[in-house]
Amino acid sequence: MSELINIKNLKVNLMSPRGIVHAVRDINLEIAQGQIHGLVGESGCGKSMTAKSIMRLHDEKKMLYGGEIIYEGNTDILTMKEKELEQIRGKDISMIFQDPMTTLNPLLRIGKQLDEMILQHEKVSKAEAKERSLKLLEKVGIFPAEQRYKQYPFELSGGMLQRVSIAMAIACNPKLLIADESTTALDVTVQAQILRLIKELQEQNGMSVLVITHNFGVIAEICDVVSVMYAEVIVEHGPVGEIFHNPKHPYTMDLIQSIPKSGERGGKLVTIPGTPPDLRRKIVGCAYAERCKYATDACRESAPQLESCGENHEFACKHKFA
Amino acid sequence: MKKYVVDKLAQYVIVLAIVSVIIFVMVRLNPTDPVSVIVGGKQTTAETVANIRAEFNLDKTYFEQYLIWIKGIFQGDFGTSFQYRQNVTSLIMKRLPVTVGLVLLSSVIALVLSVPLGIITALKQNTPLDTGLSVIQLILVACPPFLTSILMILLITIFTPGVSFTGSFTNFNEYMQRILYPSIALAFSMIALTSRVTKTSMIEQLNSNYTLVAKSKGLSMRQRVLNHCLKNSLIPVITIFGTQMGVLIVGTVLVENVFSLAGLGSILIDGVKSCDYPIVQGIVMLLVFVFITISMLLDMLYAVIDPRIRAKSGK
Ligand SMILES: Nc1ncnc2c1ncn2[C@@H]1O[C@H](COP(=O)(O)OP(=O)(O)O)[C@@H](O)[C@H]1O
Ligand SMILES: [Mg+2]
Repeated sequence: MSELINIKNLKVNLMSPRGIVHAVRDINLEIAQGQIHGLVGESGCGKSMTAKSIMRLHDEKKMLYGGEIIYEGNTDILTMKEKELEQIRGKDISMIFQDPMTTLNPLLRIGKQLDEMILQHEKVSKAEAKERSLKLLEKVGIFPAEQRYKQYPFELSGGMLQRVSIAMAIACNPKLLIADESTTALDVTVQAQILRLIKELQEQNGMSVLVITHNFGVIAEICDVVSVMYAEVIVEHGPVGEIFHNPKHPYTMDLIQSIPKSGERGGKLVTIPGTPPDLRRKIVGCAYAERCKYATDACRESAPQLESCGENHEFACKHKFA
Repeated sequence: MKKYVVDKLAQYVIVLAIVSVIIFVMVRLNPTDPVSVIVGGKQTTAETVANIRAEFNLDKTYFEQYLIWIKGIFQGDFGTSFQYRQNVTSLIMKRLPVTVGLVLLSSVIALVLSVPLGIITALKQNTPLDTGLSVIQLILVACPPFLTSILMILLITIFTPGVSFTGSFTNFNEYMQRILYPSIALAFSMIALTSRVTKTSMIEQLNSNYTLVAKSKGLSMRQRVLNHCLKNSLIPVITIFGTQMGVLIVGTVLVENVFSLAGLGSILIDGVKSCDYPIVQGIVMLLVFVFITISMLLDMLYAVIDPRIRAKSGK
């Protein structure tokens, strides 16, 4: 299986008024063709930063990249020119964002925003674009398409809008679809529908999907492989089933523990005690040591490296749990 | 949309009615007796005074005077001026082109310059270009139109002596020449604030989620600004432009004086000095009418731009 995206030692540094923030410290991530890849970690650990870097969406006046993001084995996205990026964005790689209520332009009709994506990347007439937009709306379960096409974003519910965003993201048959917390703002039943829709679409056109979430439950539901991120680095990755039943990193174990149980409505949310480290400080040793119940002096002295433990399964912890 | 329009029109009529009463009362708060102005300080008999009072309806109650005034307005008749003994409507009509020209031309100049200026400073945030333009904007904000006018007159006379730009005009070309400079002076004071507001709201739109989505769709900076941000960022610009209209209309009165143009300003000021009720209330009513009408039209424009406003008030 070949890699679609190969992220090597990605670093993202932000110049903020209070000093340099290492928003991404050192990420290595391989996204294989035709797979659903999960990226999981607590809020603020740098998931969105990593995702936006893949499409170079950041405002680059105030930041610095390091490392490489190799696309289809030959081009480094981090060295591409803006014009080249514009060809890739939306066409080869597209993204669904978190808050469906604010991701569409409030003053433009839904249809127009869908057409725009198609017209931007393909040589089709306006009428053909409309034809395709209507088909896309039906494909993501929005009926009656003709009527919705003419509506404005404020006339649709959050779940509907997220479907529109998905329709827009898949309009040009991208090779990679990035879904950054795309179901977080929706209620549980809608969340499940949207996840199922993403999975269906992936099976139909064989694209790769990067699912970003802080909820391990979402990962368990649709992903093939998962990478666990803590404090801007990947601490464990491997096939979902393997990680789920045989986690090696204490942070992964804690994340799995904190999956909200369905059926236990209103029950208290299990969270991991403590907070992630301050990103402006230099982190010595294992970043998770402060919160880890197994931490020893060795953990605080030097950072553990990723090591292999079985097929495609790697983790970074000095302890070896059976 | 229909309900929105009807609501706005009702508001518009009510505001006009209230304003007309206020203007009528304000004009009469002046303690000077207009008859003394009309006779011009000459010795007069009680009979002449009574005749004058009757001629100008000053012997009637205030309520009756108000009704006569309003009835006249609906027939296009603003009454007879005390000083000029002429029909106020024809006095206004003769001078209207200058005032209307100033308001329109300065608005157009202000919009054409300030919207692009706002967009450029938003896109070039924190660069020397932005800083330079911001300093100029600050200076413009601090300069009232009459001061800018005086400076402009100075500059014009120094650098292009012989160019005539004040006084009367006989053809369209001359008319444009006369109103161009004062319009620029008036526009300056609007450009400052309007471009500032455009900049702030454009920055907000550039940082919005839908703009990030537009970027993720592969749209260039230019497309993002023109196809997505511009329309959204104009909503506060319309608001600020509407409120500045009032300042602008007052500004025309001052600028006409500085450039000695025969607009409404000069007869308005003369009218106030000499207690000429029909002139003052007629012109003020007209200016307020124009201001309120523009505000109402801007309200309609919101609804045209923003579907949410159309929807909120029913189809
Ligand atoms: N504009 C910014 N300026 C400074 N720090 C930022 C900015 N955006 C994000 N960060 C920091 O970068 C880190 C990573 O953020 P993000 O990628 O959004 O996290 P996640 O998506 O995993 O919740 C966070 O700690 C956040 O505080
Ligand atoms: Mg995020």
